[in-house]
Amino acid sequence: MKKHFQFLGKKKNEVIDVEMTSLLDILVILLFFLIKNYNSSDLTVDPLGNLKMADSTAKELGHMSVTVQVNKERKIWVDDAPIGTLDKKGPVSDVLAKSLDEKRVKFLEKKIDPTKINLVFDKDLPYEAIAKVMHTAAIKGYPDFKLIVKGNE
Amino acid sequence: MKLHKRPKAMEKLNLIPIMDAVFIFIFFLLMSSQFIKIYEIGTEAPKTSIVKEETKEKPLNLILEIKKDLLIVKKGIPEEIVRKIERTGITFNEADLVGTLAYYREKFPKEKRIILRPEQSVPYEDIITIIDKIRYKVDRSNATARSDTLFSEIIFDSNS
Repeated sequence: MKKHFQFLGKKKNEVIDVEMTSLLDILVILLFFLIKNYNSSDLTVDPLGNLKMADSTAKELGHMSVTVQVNKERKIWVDDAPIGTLDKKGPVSDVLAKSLDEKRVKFLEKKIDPTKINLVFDKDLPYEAIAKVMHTAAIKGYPDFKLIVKGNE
Repeated sequence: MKLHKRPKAMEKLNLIPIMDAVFIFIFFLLMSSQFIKIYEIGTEAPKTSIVKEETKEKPLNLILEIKKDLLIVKKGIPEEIVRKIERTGITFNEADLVGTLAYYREKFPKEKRIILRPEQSVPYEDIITIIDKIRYKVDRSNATARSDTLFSEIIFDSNS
C-alpha cells in the first residue's frame, strides 16, 4: 500500500513535456509576416466617413502633422474631429480656415511652427475641392502639402 | 576490461525564453502596425522668386495641363504647347507621356520641377495616377522597381 502511494506522489510532480516546435514554427511565420509588413512611419490615418483613399506607387513614409480629411460628400475632418462641409462658394473654405487657425495657435503655444499638412482626399473628389483645401491651407501658413495615399503593391 | 559508453541523451533545448521573447515581439508589432500601407506625395504651394536676368539658360517651366480626356504638355515663358496626349481607354498613353517628360529631363538635367494644372472636374484618383507616372520612370518588367527619377517636385498651379 505504501509503495502504491509513493508511486502516485511521484507522478503528480512530473513535468508535462509539451511539444512546442510546431507552435514555435507558427510564431516565427507570424513574426516574419509582421516584420515584413511593419511600417515605421509615425503617421496613422483612419479614413473617416467612408473615405476611399487613392492608390499610388509612392514609397515615401508619412509623418505626423495636422491631418485634414475630406470625403466624397465633402465633409471635412481636422485631426479626426468633424468641422463641417466644404462649400462650393469662393476660393477659401471658412470652416477649414477657422479650424487651421485654432490648430496653429495650439502649435505656437508649444513653440512649434508647422508648415506641413497631411491631406487625405477621397479618390472621387474633383480637383475643384482639392484646390480649395490646398489654397485655404496655404494662406493659413501650411504651404507644404503632403498628399496621403494608399500603397498599391 | 572495456567499459561500454552509454550513448549521450539528446539535450532538449529550453524554448521557453525564446517563446517569451517572440510573444513580446509579436505583441509589440501587432499593437504598432498599420495594415493599410500609407505613403505621402510631397507637393508645394506655388512660390514667387526673383530670377536673375544674367542667367543665359532659359527656364524649362514645364507645365502639364490635365483635362478629362487630354493631357497637354507645355514649356517655356510664354508657354508653348509641346505635346498633346489623348486618353486611350481608361488611362492616358503612358509611354507617350513618360517619353516626352524623359526627353525634357535629359535636356534640362537640373530641372526637377513640374507644374500641374488640372481641370476643376478631374477626379483626385486621376491626378494621383498621373503624378505617379511623372515622378518616376517605372521599369516595365518589374512594376515595383523604379529605374529613374523624372520630375520629383510637383507644384499645383494656383490659377487652375
